[in-house]
Amino acid sequence: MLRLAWRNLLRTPGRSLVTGGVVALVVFLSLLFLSVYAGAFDAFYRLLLERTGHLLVRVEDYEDKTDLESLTFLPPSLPLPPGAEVEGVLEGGGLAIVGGRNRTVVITGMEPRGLARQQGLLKEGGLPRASGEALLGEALAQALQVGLGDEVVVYAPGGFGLGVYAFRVVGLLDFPETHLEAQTLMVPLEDAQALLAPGRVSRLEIRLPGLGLYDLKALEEVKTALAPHLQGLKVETWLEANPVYAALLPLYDTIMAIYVGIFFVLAGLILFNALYLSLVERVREFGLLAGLGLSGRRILGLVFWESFLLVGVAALLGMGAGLLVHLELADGFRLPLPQWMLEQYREFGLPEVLYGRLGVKEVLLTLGYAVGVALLAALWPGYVASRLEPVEAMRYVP
Amino acid sequence: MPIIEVNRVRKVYRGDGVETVALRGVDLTVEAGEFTALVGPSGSGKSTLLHLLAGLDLPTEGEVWVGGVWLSRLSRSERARVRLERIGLVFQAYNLLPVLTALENAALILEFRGVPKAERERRALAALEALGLKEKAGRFPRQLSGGEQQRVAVARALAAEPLLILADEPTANLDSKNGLALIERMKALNREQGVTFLFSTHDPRLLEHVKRIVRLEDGAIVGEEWR
Repeated sequence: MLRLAWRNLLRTPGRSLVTGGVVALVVFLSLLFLSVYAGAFDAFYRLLLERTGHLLVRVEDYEDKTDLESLTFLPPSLPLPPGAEVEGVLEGGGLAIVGGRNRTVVITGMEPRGLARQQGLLKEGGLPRASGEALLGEALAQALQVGLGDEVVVYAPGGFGLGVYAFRVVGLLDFPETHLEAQTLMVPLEDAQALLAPGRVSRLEIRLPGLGLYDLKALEEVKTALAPHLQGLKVETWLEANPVYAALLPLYDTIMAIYVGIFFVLAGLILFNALYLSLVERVREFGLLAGLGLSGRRILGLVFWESFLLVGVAALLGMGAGLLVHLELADGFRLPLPQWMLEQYREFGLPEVLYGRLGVKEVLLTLGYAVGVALLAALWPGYVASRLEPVEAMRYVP
Repeated sequence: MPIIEVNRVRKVYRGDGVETVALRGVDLTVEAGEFTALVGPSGSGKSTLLHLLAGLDLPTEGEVWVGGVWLSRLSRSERARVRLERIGLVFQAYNLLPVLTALENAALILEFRGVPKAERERRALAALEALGLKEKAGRFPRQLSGGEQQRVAVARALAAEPLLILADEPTANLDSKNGLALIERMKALNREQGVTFLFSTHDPRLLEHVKRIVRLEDGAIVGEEWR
């Protein structure tokens, strides 16, 4: 039966080649798409993780609190795994004043490592290296009409520090969100503490080197171990701290399945067309097979074999090519986008070089679609062939 | 027990409000080892009777027994199984699968039955040899003449060692020389291997070679002749 199916495919080599080519192309493109998409998805989440850290420690019910005193705390000593990095961040509201102009700002005090992570957003100047130096959002600088080297006085009466502090602008930041850019003022943590809340932080960012992007189970274990040591404080994973983005994660598989499914619907239609044409051309042969005693079930099986053989060979070729290209992508690639799109991309802080990712799940998804398409496309032609009346079929004139 | 027993068989085709009576109360018995020809003009019911005997169609009334099996009692797939295991069929035309060689075509029924490759090739080759086609076993149908193609079809039926071989006008598309040669081969198989043949024809020259002639006219048996 297998031989008969194979020979039937070879009798119309052009059609088999085109149909198989489409299936191979769809498998290839699906793998390519999955690899690139996963790479972009990872880049986005990696950026998020980099900005927030693996774990965040804040005061309990911080969402409901407004005054700086109840939102800040003295950093406790935490039992962290070896190599873990803890960074304190202090955030508070204030008023930036330059001459007769003023703007409300969010003052963010960061440790040197935190400030260094802003390098990608830096449009002009450099990072603060000493006390009294500040980074300003470009839009804020324009509103205050200040540039590099100018002085900005920050007034923060809501805290319990000095309440007023003078900074020299050393760098301007370019954010994708203009409203953020118009109220961002970043300064060394010690300066922010002196201004707002001596010795205190509003959050602790914990980074755990070696922990993968999606090692959520290991992350939960560290979080659970920390909980008893946090009196009046709360620890959250990076995904819990970003609920909107966390909600996207479970949708990833569904979105992938839908996109790849659309590719395969196209391949399925072309395959169906080829199988149906083949049926119409071979009505007399199917009649002969039925006349000789081949049951309807086995005739159906013959059509399925033809479909599976064609799709199987094409899928293997497409998969081979797709995996080869993926290996290249896994070493890093640049998105082939126009310059203006890349600039937008960069503005969000996303890396220009992405790394393709393809797991067993993605490969199985593609194979599953190929098998499903082979099955579905053969269903109707196979059914029709299996129900042909042998006498009438053998008299059929194409 | 006879190989074929047909009792009071009527076959009526209905379509577009028109009834066509193809067979009107046919009774026929064929014993093992017979070499019988069904003769009659076009439209006399020869093909219809052969189709009923092969289980390709069912009678409107009456009983058709083949090898002790009442075909009307069987489902479509059971009748297919009877054909596969007990009946060899040779059709008027379009007998072979073009993608298979003569040997593969001759071994096709055995393959469908699940006979191991070596065994089915041995039997198919022996059948081709019996029909003088051993040298052309590797050729595809397009590389064979019409007569040779029909002989491959007979070889396919023969290799399966059926209870009987039914042939519907096997010589209709052959010239008289090839037609006669085919009938002579069939007769030799009947004589030497005891294969039962029932075939339809309207070629009077072939009738000299048969043992029994059954005459059909207008859907009824109008005469029988033994030789």
